[in-house]
Amino acid sequence: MTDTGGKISTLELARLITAVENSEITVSEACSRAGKAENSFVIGITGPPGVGKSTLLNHLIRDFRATNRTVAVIAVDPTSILSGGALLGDRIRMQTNTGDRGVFIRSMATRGHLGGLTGKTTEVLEVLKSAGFEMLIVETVGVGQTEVEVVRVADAVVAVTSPAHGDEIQMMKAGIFEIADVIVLNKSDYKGAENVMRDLIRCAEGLNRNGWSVPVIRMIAAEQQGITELRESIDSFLAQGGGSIGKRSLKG
Amino acid sequence: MDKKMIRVCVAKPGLDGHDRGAKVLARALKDAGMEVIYTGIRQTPEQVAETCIQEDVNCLLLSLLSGAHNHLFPKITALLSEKGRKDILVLGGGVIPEEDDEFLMKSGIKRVFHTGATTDEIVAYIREQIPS
Repeated sequence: MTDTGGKISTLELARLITAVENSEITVSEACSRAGKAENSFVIGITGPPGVGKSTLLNHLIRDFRATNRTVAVIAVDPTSILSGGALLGDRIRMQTNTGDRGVFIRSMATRGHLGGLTGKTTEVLEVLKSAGFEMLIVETVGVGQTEVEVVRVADAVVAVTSPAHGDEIQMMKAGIFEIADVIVLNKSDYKGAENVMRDLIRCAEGLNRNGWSVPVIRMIAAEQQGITELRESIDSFLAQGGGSIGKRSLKG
Repeated sequence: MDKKMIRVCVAKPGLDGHDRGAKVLARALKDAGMEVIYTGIRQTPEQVAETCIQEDVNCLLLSLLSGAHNHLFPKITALLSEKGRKDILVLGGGVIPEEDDEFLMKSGIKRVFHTGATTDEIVAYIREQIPS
């Protein structure tokens, strides 16, 4: 049972998600079985492979829990184009929340879907909302430049990068920085961080978010530095109305 | 891709930090077309059981080289039963003396793969046990 909802067991929820993922059941059926939705927000965490998205997320979960909100996570990893199998390894970094019934984590494989998410992400998010979770976090696959689908499902998008992921021109291109509501420079103790930080701030200043100035957060996720600042930034963005799908004007 | 997918959890319970075998196996299962959730090293029985429940896996592979298998494996199978997932196919592997097989199998481990077992054997066994 989840803390808030208390309507469905973890086991039942896990099975419902499988059924939705395998198209054995309709979303509306799954949602009605899952329970009744609470007020919820969807947060997307995106960025290149290996920048520390899962490590950051592990600590962010704890920070949301410390502020009394339940958390459900969908962690997406790629399906092999050769075998159809997948190695879902995001959970390795997220094992510190065991035993907390207010946290539910599910790994999902892309199963051939492009864009950084799985073909069933929206549906599974609906089920998790119905199960009563308040903060829904989607961790995308490690993305390149064009996997920006997360912007279509998230109320707030966090783009994570690290030093050594390209110069200022990379940040000026269309792609993940352009959709970011909050930017994180993780591994900010690495060489070159100062320069990248400066470029990111300039990039953020050029983003037009209807009065929201996109913050750039220095982070060392492995040492839990910058996590609370990130959580506070997400909360302020959401408090200002967030960037929920209807409010973004997407043209692509 | 709407066919039923075999979802496997590869877990390293206990304090043993040697996970080369688990990683080789995880990769082989991925290459065999399965979805593999790897827990990483130093997991408690509770962490392993909860991962299996939340991820709704069909199969759990426990790898242990430290000698604590008789203590840890039954704890995990007991937790799975308690949580309603007695149906998960649980397999053991690592450095496990053959004389422990009987005890482990009585504790809910379906089969133990000993040193020298090939990844092909393990993949074939899982496929045979879990028709997709």
